[in-house]
Amino acid sequence: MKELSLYFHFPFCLKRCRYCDFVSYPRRDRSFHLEYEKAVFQEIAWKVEEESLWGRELSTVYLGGGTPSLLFPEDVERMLNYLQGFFTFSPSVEITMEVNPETVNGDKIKAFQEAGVNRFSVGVQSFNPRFLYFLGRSSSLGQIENVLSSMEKIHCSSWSLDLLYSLPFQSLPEWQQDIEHALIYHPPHLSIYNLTLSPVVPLYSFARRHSRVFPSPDEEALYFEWTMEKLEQEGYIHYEISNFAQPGAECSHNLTYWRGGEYLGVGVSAWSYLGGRRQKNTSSLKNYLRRLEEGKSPLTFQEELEAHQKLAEDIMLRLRTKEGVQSSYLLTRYRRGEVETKLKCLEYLSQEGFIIKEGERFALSKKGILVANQIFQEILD
Amino acid sequence: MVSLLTLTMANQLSLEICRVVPKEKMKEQFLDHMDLERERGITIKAKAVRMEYFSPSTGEKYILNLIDTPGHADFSYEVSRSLAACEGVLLVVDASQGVEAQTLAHARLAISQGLVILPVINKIDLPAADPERAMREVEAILGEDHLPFTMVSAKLGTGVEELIEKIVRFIPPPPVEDSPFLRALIFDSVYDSYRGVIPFIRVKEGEIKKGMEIMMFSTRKSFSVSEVGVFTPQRTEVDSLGPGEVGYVVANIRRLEDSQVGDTITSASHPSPSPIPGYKKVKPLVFCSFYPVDYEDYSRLKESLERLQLNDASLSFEADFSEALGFGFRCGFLGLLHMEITQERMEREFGVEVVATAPHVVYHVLSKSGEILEVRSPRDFPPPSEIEETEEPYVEMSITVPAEYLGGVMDLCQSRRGIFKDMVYLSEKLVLLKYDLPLAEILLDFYDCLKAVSRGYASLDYEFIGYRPAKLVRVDILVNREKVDGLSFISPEESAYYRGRALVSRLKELIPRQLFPISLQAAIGGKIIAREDIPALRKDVLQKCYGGDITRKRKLLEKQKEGKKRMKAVGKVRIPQEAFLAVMKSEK
Repeated sequence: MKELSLYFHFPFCLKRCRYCDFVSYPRRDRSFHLEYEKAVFQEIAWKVEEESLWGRELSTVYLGGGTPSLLFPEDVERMLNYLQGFFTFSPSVEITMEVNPETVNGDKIKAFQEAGVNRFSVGVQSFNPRFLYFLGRSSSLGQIENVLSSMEKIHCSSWSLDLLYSLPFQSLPEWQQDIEHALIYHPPHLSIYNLTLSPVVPLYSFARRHSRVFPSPDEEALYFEWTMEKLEQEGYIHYEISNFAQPGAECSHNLTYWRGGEYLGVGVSAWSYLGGRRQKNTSSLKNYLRRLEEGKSPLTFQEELEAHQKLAEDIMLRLRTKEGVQSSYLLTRYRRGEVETKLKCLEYLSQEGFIIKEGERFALSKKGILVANQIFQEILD
Repeated sequence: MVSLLTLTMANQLSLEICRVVPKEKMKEQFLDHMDLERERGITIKAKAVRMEYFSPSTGEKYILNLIDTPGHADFSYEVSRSLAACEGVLLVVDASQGVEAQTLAHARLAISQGLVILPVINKIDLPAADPERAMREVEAILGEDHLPFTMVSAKLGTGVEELIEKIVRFIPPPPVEDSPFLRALIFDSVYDSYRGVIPFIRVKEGEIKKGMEIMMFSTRKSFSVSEVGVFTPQRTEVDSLGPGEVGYVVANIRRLEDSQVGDTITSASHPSPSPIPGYKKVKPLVFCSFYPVDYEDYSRLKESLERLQLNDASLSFEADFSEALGFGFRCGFLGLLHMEITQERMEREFGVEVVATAPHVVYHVLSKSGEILEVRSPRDFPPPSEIEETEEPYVEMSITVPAEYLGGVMDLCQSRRGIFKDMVYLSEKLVLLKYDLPLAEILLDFYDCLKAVSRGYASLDYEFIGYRPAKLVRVDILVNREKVDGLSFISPEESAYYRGRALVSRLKELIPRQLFPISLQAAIGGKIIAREDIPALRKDVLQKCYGGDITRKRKLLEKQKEGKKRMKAVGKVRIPQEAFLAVMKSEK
C-alpha cells in the first residue's frame, strides 16, 4: 500500500500578519478551537470512508496554519490518537507542527514533543524588530530567541525555521545578519522565502505604492545567491528551491508534495491529492463547519489531471528539488512521445546552462533556480 | 436638399420640428449608427434622412432630404459625392471654436459645385460662445459679407425652426429635367447581410421603381430592383423615386464594387448615354499591414476585411507576409483616421485582434537600373547602393489656429519638413496657415502634436498635391543581430539617426527581460546607428510551493505561458506586440 501524508490546517491566529494570505481567523477562544477540532475529526472519518483510506500507512503528519501551536498539547495528543483509529503510523513517521513563538514556551514545546510531535517548524521570518513590526508579526525578538533556545534544551533533532527576505529597505548586510543570527541556533532545516504579496493582503497596496523601497529582482538575485553559497558552506544541502537542510534533516512531508505523493488535507482550505485527483476544501470557516454539521462534503474544487498536465506538473515539481527528474522515471510513467518532447526541452535548457544533466538525471542549476518560473514555462506545453 | 450638418443638428432638425423619431427610440444621436461613431462623436459614413415639413409662412408642405456628411479630411471624397447630391448646404460652425480647417475645405467644395450655402452658427448656448467672431471668420473664408446667418443651439432647439424656414426660402427645389432617361447618383451604400449592398441614391432624372432592371455605369452590370424607399430615418419602402428624391435601392447587389460611391445608376433597357459627371475611383494614400494576433485567426481576418469592404469601398487590401508576424494583409486607407477606424471595427465587430504595422505612404524609388519602384512597405525598399533617387507624396496642409498659438504651430510644421505657403488672418484671433508637408510626416503623431501646441484649438485639413523628391533611407531594427521585419521604417535621412535611437530605447522598455541578454540595434544598410542592451532576467521564481499551491501555481504558469505564446519569437527572443506598435508611435 502506498504511503500517505496528512495535512491538518488550523485556521486561527492571535492576530493576522500583514503579509499572510493563508486562511486564518484572529480567534483565540479555546472552546471555538475545540469545536473546530471536532469538525475536523468528522471530516477525517468522512474522507477515510469516501476515499477508502482505511488502514493506510501515514508517513508524515503536518499540523499547519494558522497557528496550530495555539492548541494545547492534550489536543494534539487527542488528534494523533484519533488518527491512529483510521491509519497506521509508519515507524519513521514525521510529525511536524508549525510554531509561532508568541504562543509557546520551553515547557509547552516539551509537552508537544511528549504528545508525539517530533518536528517543529518555527515561524521566525526575521530577527530584526523593524521587519517584525512591518510584517505585523505578533512575536518579539525575545520570544523568538526563547523558543529557538528551547529546541536545544529538549534535544529536538529535527526542526526548522522560516526566514523572509526582500523586505522594504532591507540591505544585503541586514539580510546577512538575519541568516547569521539564525545559524547561532544550528537549525537542522531552514526555509527561505522572498516576500510575495497577494492582492488580498494589507501590505499589497503599500507595496504597489512603494515598489521602489523593495529590493529589485536583480538585488533579490544577489541576496539569494549569497544565501545559497553561505548555507552550503555551513553544510546545508539546498534540497529544494526554498529549503535547506543538514543531511538527513529534509522535510519528508514537503518532499511528498514535490515527488507527486498522495496526501490527505483536512480542515478549512486544505488541499488533497488522492488517486490523481486534486481537491480543495472550502476556504470559509462558516461553510466548513456548517457543511460538516449537515453531513455534506466540504469540497469546493476538484480536478482530475490530464496525462499531459500530470507529466508537466511532475517534471516541474521534481525540478524544484535537488534530486531533479530522471528520464527513465518519466519514460516508465508517461507516453513516450510526450516525454521525448519534454526531454528535448530539458536538453536544450541544459545546453543553455539552466539545467545540469548528470547521466539521465536533470536538475536545475543555480542560475536555473533563480529563474525557475521561466524554465517551468518552457517546459509547459 | 441640405448637407454638411453636424450631429446634434441633424437630429434636432428632424426630431424637434418634424417628430419623425419617437423620443424613446432615439439612442442619443440616431443618425450616427455605428457605436464607434457615437463614441468618437464623429460621422464616418454619410447618413441620410427624409422629413416632411409644413411651413407656416408659405402654407405649403415640403419634403426635405438631409445628408449628414463626415467632417474629417480622410473622407473628403464621400463629402464631395454627398454634395453632388444636394442643392444647398448648411455650413455649421461652432460658436465657441470658430472656423476649422475642414470648414474651409468643405465650403470650397460647395462653392465649386455651385451650391447655396446657409451658414449656421451652432452651440450659441455655450458660455464660451462668440458668435460675432465666428460670423466674421465665415465671411472671411467665403469672401462674402451679409450672409444669411442663423444662430442656433441644436441642444436647446433655439433657432432650429428659423433655420428650416431659411432652408425652404433660400435653397431651391431640385431642377426637374424632362428626360427620357434614368440617372441617379450613388452617394453612399451599406451592406445588409440579407439584402446585399444597398446603394443610397439621389435621382437626377427619370424614375426608379420596383421590378425595374437597372445598370451601373462604371461596371455595366445590371440588377433587378426589388425595393425602393426613403429614410424616415428608418428605411421605408415607397412605390418609386422621382427626380430630386433621395432614397435607397435594394437590387440584390452582392459586391460593393458594383455599387461605388459616385457612380451613376441608369435603366438597363433605356440607358442614358452619359453618366453624372464627377465619378472617380478613390486611391488609398496610407498603407499599413494587419496581422492576426493569433495566427489561427488569419481566415477570420480575411473575412472581416472582406465584410468591411462591403461597407467601405475606399478600403483596399492584399495578402502580405512578414517573418516576424506571419501572414497578414497590406491595406490601403484614405488616411490615418480611416486606418484607426478600420482596425477598431475589425476588433469590435468581428472580434479579430490584429497587430498593425506602422502606417506608411507609397514612396517612388528610381533605381540605378532606371526602374521606377512603387514602394509600399519598408521591406520593398531597396538597399542604399541601388537607389538613384527617391520621391515621397506631399499634401497641402491648411491649419486654422488662434493667433496666440501661431508660433508653436509654425515650429511644428517646420520641424516636420513643412514648406510655408501662406498665412491669412480670418479674424483678429484666428489665423489660417498653409504649408506643403510630406504626407509621411503627418502619419505619425502630427495631429496629436498640433493639438498639444495649440491646447486643442488648432484644426487641420489636407489635400494630396503630388510627389516630390526626398532623401530617404530604410532603418532596420536588429534583435540579437537578426532583422525584424515589422520593426523597419522608412525615414528621411536627416532624422533617421534620431528616430532609430528613439525606437531602440523605446523597445528596451517594451521587450521584457528574458532568459538571455538581448541586443537591440538600429541600422541603415550595414551601418549601425543606435544600440541598446536588455540584460538577462536574473530572478523569477515562485519560492513557496506546497500542497495547496500546486494547482494555483500551475495555472499561473500556464497563464504566463499563454501570454508568451502571443508574443512573436525572433530566434530565442520573444517580442511583445506593443513593441511593433511602438514603431507606429515612435516619437519625433
